[in-house]
Amino acid sequence: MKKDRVDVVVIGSGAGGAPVAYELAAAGLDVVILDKGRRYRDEDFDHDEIRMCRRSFFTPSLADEPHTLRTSPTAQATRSQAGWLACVVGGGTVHMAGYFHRLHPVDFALRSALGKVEGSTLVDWPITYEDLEPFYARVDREVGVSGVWRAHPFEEPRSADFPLPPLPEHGFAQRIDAACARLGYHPFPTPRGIVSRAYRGREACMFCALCASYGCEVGAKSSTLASLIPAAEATGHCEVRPECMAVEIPVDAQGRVTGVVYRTGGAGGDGGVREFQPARCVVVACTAIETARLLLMSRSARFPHGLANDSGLVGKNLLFSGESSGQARFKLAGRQGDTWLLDAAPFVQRSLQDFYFLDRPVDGVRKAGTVLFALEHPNPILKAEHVAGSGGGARWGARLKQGLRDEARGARTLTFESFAETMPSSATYVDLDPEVKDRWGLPVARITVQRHPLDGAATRLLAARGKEVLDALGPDSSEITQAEGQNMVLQGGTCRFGRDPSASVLDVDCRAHTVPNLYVSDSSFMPTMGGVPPTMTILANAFRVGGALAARFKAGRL
Amino acid sequence: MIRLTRRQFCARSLLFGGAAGASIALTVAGCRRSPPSARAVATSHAGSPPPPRLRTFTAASFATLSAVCERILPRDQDPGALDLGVPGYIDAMVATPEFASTRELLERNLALLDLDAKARTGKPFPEATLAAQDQILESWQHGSERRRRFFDVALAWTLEGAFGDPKYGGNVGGRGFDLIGFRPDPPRTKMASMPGMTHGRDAAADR
Repeated sequence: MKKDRVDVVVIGSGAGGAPVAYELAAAGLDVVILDKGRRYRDEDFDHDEIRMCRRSFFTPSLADEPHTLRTSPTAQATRSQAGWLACVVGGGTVHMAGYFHRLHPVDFALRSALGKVEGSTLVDWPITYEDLEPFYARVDREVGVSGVWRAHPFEEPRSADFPLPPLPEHGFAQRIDAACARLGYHPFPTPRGIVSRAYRGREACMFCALCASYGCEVGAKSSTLASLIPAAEATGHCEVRPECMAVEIPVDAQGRVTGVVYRTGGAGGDGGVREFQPARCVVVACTAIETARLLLMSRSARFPHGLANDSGLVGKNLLFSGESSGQARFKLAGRQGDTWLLDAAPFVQRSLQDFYFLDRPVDGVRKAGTVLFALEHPNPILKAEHVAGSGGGARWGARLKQGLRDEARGARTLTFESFAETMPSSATYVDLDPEVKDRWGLPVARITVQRHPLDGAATRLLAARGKEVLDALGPDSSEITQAEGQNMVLQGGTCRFGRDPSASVLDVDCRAHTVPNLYVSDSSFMPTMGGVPPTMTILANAFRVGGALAARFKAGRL
Repeated sequence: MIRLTRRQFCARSLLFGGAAGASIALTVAGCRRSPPSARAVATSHAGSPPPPRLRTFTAASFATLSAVCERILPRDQDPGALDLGVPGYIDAMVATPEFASTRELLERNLALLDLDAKARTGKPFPEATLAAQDQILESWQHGSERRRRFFDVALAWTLEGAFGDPKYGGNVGGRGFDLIGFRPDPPRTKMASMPGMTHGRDAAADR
């Protein structure tokens, strides 16, 4: 059956898609959201580590929908599950930990701040922090961000206070503050996308500690599923279609998009059918990797190299947040006086940004990022794996049992992880794998990662500082568990925005330079990702894009 | 923002067998079923759950699997793999089509482990002395790529069976949670009533 044309189809319902849908629906435009994943209710989320974290609950199985990964254009690409975010309504915001840092003013003009960086396609953003600030404040209110202001050297200007008080803190927070005072650092409470009090009909956090890798069973986590999607639906102008995977965005003779071809049945479904939803405008927000894949799959006579890809830049300049991590163990035996170690509060709530931008380079690095402290994830299987280790050094038998008693049950483990700037380059990109297909026969995204030398230097620097703070707390042991990692969930950059159509895919409003009714509103737009988790910025920018698009509709200029 | 840690990712890859695509066509119907044998029963301790009705392994393979799991997580003052129903968990879990490649890997290597034990001790693995079992397992942990992989998979699945949600048949009675100090039920009390919580203590000072 032929479907009626709607004003806008938004592909993807996570941080990039939901704010746009909400803004448009609130402006009275008719919106359809397509999401490839299922729609879960709060009560569908439980604390079953096997189901939530170790099967294909959130992300597709390797057999159904792999990515392929290689380290150079001549290397063999191998199948991988890396690079997927949750394929459910609400996207990655459903299983996030909810670290809601903003970018800093320097992040918008990094090329100007650093000068030319050899081997990098580094550019300034076409907008400033001041342009985005009102939308950060909007995110705080609309999804519910908990936090408190504390002065630190890289504190960003804010137009309004947090709408919700900070989450309660584990006793480690005070000890980190004291240690950092001695070291001359300036820790501050981590802003969280978790509501600390009942907010807009949602329940307050109940401190189960299972945020990351889980959905929240009371809706306290500020996912778009708990906040913006119901709000968009309440306008009466937004329909969410779960288990509908966009496979092509066709164009007419004028090169304008006409709607979206999608497959029903979702990620795991069989027997789905192809449908076409006509639309006046299409907004793509499927994650940096999958957005690039969808555009590259949408070939036509007008766009033989993929939709909106006249510049050849769709998929290029792929970014992953740099990551390092470490941990310190505090054995309870011999610390009977330190009752604070047994605090029930699951959140440590401290971030450090003293190394966000350095006056003098360390190992060539001037732009590093954020160090964030948290208790070890309580997942019992994961914890046991950490105690056991793996491969030739794995502990088993009596040593494993003793380790579980001493280091899991008999200790508290404080961890840090860093979020570091990585340098964009043309050598790290997404294209279509020429051989590997998903279960429907569609070419999968092939990810080529060639890391810039500064990336490892930045994460090493943050790891050393993180460990320095851990050691200042007097632990029984401490270690850097990862020095030069990258977090492939935190991705961006494949359709960078800018003023020059030959050097960017999107214009300042995130509208495709060469397709007037096509927008991209996820992290694909980011020319650089900053030294913070990008979720907050994706949401804020999507509000900005949604507002600009609504205004364009209103002015009849689409 | 969450992501799989590297370790988590490796573990996940192990569980998925790494080549799930190649052998996904195998179905549950294709696997052997058999009642528990005397030998399988002999591998349970007094007080540990009775052996399950097997869905995947032969009695001989299950006895070997049971012995391997128990050496990885032996009973001491705290429960071991058999007490926690780990072998039965693995038998049931790898019966699903999703884990066809893991099932193949285990079946093949459990048989080879028995052969190796016979060559070294004259007895199949479960009948060898515990010291000999440990020695053989350790040599597999540091052995050929195939042997190392089997060891890693056995370790990962043992931990999943011991510390996963009890509803799948492992972690019997939630005793694995006790061992590791995990509290499965969230504290549903509100923040004000929770001991040790400081709430926004610097909110006023820093504004």
